[in-house]
Amino acid sequence: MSDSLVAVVMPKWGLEMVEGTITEWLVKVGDPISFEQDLVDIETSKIVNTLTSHQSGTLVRILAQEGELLDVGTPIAIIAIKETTESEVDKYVAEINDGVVSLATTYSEKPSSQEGISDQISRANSDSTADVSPAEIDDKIDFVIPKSLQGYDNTDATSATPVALRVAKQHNVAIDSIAATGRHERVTLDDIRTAVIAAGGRFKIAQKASYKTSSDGRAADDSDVPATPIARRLAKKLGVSLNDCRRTGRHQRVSKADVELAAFKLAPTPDLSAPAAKAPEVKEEAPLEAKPLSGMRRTIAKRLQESKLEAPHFRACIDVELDALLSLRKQLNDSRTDANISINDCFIKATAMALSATPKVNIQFDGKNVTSMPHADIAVAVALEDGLITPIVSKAETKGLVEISNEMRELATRAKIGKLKPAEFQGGSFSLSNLGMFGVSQFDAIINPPQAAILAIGASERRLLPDGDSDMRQATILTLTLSSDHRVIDGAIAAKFLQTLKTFIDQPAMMLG
Amino acid sequence: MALQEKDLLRAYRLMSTIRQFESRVDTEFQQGNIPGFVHDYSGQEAVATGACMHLTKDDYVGSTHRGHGHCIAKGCDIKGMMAEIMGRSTGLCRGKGGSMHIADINQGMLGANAIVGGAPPLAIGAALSAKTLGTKNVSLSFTGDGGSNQGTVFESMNLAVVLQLPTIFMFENNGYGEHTAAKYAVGSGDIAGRAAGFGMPAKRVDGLDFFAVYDAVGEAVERARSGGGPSAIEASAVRFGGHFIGDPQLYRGEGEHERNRRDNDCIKIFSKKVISEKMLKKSQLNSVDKEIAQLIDTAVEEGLSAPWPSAEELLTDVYSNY
Amino acid sequence: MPIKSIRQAINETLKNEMRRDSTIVVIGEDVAGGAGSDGIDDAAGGVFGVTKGLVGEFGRERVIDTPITEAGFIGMAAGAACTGLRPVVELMFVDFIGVCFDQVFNQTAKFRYMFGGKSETPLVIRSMVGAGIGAAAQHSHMLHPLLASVPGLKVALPSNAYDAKGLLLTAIRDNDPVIFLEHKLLYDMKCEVPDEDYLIPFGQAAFTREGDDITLVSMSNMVLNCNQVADNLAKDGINADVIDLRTVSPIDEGAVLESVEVSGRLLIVDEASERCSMASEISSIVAEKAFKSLRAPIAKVTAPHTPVPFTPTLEKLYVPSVERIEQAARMTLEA
Repeated sequence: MSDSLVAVVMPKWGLEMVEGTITEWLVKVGDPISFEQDLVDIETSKIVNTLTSHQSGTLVRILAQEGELLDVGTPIAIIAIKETTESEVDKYVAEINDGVVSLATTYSEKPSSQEGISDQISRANSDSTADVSPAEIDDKIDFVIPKSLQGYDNTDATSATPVALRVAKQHNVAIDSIAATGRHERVTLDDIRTAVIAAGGRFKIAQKASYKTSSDGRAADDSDVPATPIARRLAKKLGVSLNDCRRTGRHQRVSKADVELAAFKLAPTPDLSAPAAKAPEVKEEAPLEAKPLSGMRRTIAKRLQESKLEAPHFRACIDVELDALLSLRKQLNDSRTDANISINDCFIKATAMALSATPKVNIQFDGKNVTSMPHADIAVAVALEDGLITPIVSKAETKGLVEISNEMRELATRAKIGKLKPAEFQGGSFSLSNLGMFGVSQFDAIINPPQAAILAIGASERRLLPDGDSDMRQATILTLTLSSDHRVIDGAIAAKFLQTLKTFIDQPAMMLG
Repeated sequence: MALQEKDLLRAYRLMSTIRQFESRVDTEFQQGNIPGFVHDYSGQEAVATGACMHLTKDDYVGSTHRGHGHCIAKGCDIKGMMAEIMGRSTGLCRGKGGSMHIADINQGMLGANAIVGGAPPLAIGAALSAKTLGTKNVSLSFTGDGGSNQGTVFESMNLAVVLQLPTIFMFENNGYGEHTAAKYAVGSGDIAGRAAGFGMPAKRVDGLDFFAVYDAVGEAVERARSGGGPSAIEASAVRFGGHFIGDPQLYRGEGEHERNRRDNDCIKIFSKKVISEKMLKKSQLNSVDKEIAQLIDTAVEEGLSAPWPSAEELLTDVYSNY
Repeated sequence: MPIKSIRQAINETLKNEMRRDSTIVVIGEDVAGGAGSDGIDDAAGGVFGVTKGLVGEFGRERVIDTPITEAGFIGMAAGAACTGLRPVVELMFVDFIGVCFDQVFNQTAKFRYMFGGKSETPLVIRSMVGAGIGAAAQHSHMLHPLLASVPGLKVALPSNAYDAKGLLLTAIRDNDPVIFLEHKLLYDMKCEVPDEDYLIPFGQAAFTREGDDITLVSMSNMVLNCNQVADNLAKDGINADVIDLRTVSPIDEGAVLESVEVSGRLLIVDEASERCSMASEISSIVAEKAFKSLRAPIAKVTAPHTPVPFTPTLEKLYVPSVERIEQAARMTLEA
């Protein structure tokens, strides 16, 4: 234990955070560090946040590189409180790696050894004495060679198969220490894999998804390529060379389907952020590249998958009339300069009121225990470029429409730039998801645990409704769909909640009361 | 080349062994103790015996699908043969060859051969080995009248003459190639004449007469050993049974079968001669028969109680290494 | 290191082996030539001169000219191989296997098994394969798939002089029948070949190019085309494994499977016709055993399902060209 050096570790922001990605270092080695100075931006599954220093001193070592995904508690940098030498820093880092220095004292969940491989790798980056080789995680081959198997010895070329030899050389594997089971007593790729995994390492080969090869010759004259007339015409239209097409048609001709397949393969990966009007440039092929999920996407995927698997969803729909609400909203917006209330804001308020009236829906459920929530903390889904986040309007039942509206706008703005605090998006007692602005008439939403219900808001439309026995009237109607976790919310309760909600929307004056 | 008493006894022993062996194989086959199919050599014993009596263990014989007699005459182990025909692991070929592929290279037996006309090319190969290595050994191929029409046989005869190989082409004309008469299928009806056409000494002998076969082969073997090149002998013979055990033999003429058994049995002819000319006594022949009967009983008994080959045997012996 | 052609490498290997082992004999049509004629001995030395000069040193006792009688002399060689000789037979063109196939697959290949492992047949059948010189349908066939399908035979196809020497040495010293197939376009291909003896084990493929991006598998003459394709791809930064199987029985499955595991992409090039070719065999092996490694459909470039045409324009189309192989490789890469 050093009294002059302090490790900065991957923080744990909120109970759900287990890992974070280094987005950007805001300081560099040698910088003086003051208390609460911004050190590094870290992306968690939900947000990007800035880690500030708990110490003042000098940054002497950065252990985690930008882009690395690390478990909570993994050391990412070292700050010297007093003057130190490089060798002292080296020694301290080694002690951390050997577990002599315990860092994660404040975290109940220590990363298991298996999950800890990524931080082993990051340590190995700066420490050649670690039991793993320098990090070699590229998108092609993912290897961690245990120390006991390290050291490619310019070995007898006949002692291993050519591929095994090459892989061993690339990843510094000591071939001679591996038992050979191949033909002619040669070490095979499988032998290396077995030995590496047995010694606790990682050995995973992944190939590239696609290649862009030189287009030389591709644009070449394709008039000699046998093709059906329709295929030839289509190829010309799509700008596809028949040279690039398979020939699965009769008499080994390029068929229409072959051209379509080639066009599909040659098409650029759609860029969702680009304007849709941009014409596809068939020739400019973007290689298909499989990217790992971002932290946020992984979290969304994991949580929603769990919810869908574990919570028996049942749905209930109800139509509400918006006309009164629209008119109230107009009055408020017209009368107050600070007001820019949206329909969505009205739904937050109405939902909060309905939850107060139906407390059996205003709950959290962790699979074992039901917690009745004291307030209506309404989580509202906000779409981001790569995912979504649900900032929470807390105690919404206590707040007025204008207050809710302003708060929601501010939350949404910060959500979009990744600056929400964990408390602002974690927890909640109920969620709203609104796709009405896209014209979606109605949809089912997946419950966001630990909440037990979510309301899906569709688009409004003008409809003719019977008015009395003989008349018709026009009304603005919108369909609400409630997804409830049937383990804790029964149909009658869900129905009662919807009925109450409908009352508040149909007759908005009631929520002002 | 006068035959001594012990030679005559040996000849009788071989012929009696072949006859009793084949007769027992017939019985065992019909009782379901032998898989596949079997070609019975009975009736032609004088040919195999008369020919092989001149050969040493180091001379080579190539045989036909009807090969049991050749194997016995060449000295293959009776028990090993019976077990092989029954498909047992104690067989000469560990149960992997069967009746049509019995072989024992160590006994100079290059194998029964289920491809008609299969033996001559292999036999001239053995002769080439003998000639190149200077061993003074010879080879002898058995071919039936059916096989005599195969191109491989012509090619082998020509090659043997061209390369002056120490080999004997022994043609056994038993009158039938499978179910078709030789007098139909052999164009000239003269197999020895064809062989002579290739440029080698060729003779036709009575295959029912052990002594005639013995003398002719003796002369040919002597020629081969002394560097005189190949010879051919056509022995007319009689096939007692059908092409295979169970063949209804509808191609036989009226009374042919009975006539063969009565008048054309080479063993009866041999016995009659050696007894009447006082070369051997009847009691000597009887005691040989008895002894052989016992041997064959034991062979069958041991064969039936021998283990089948283990499953691993399926995959072994394809290559010496792979 | 001395540079030698395949012809020289084979000739030298035969010569050295015959000096070493007096049981080795060379048998075939015109392996010396001139037998019984008024002209000179050694008038031919094989149609492509591969066995030239052997008769002068070893005599007609060990360099045996035969009549044109393939069934006869291949069968004779098989019989000789069982009884003490180690014959190296020349079947002038592999197409002639038709008249002697019984001797090869029914006799030679089956002896050991039929005889319960109690025999050895150290026989080498050298033969010539391949199109490219206008030899037409009955003198140009690639029949290695047919031969490789016969249990009991081993089949080697060298693509260069170094391998030709090492593989032939292994073939001659092997105790099983080996079919040794020489591509007629390759006889003058030269490379460094050591003077001393070395054995190349059967069932061990060579990597003539190395790279992680795509696996090209071939044998014999097609290895040269694959090398050229690999070099062309390398200009675009794409690196190919080129696997020269060297023997198609046994097959080095491991080499192919390992390479495909790394590359995820497989293109097989075979001068034999597509149906039941080595290309379809390798394709089947990889589909069965490395399906999960594949990132693109397996591709094959083979000769069409036709006899080999005579006229040069058609023959050129028949043989898988560098262009066809490269196009297939690029499509596989982009799939």
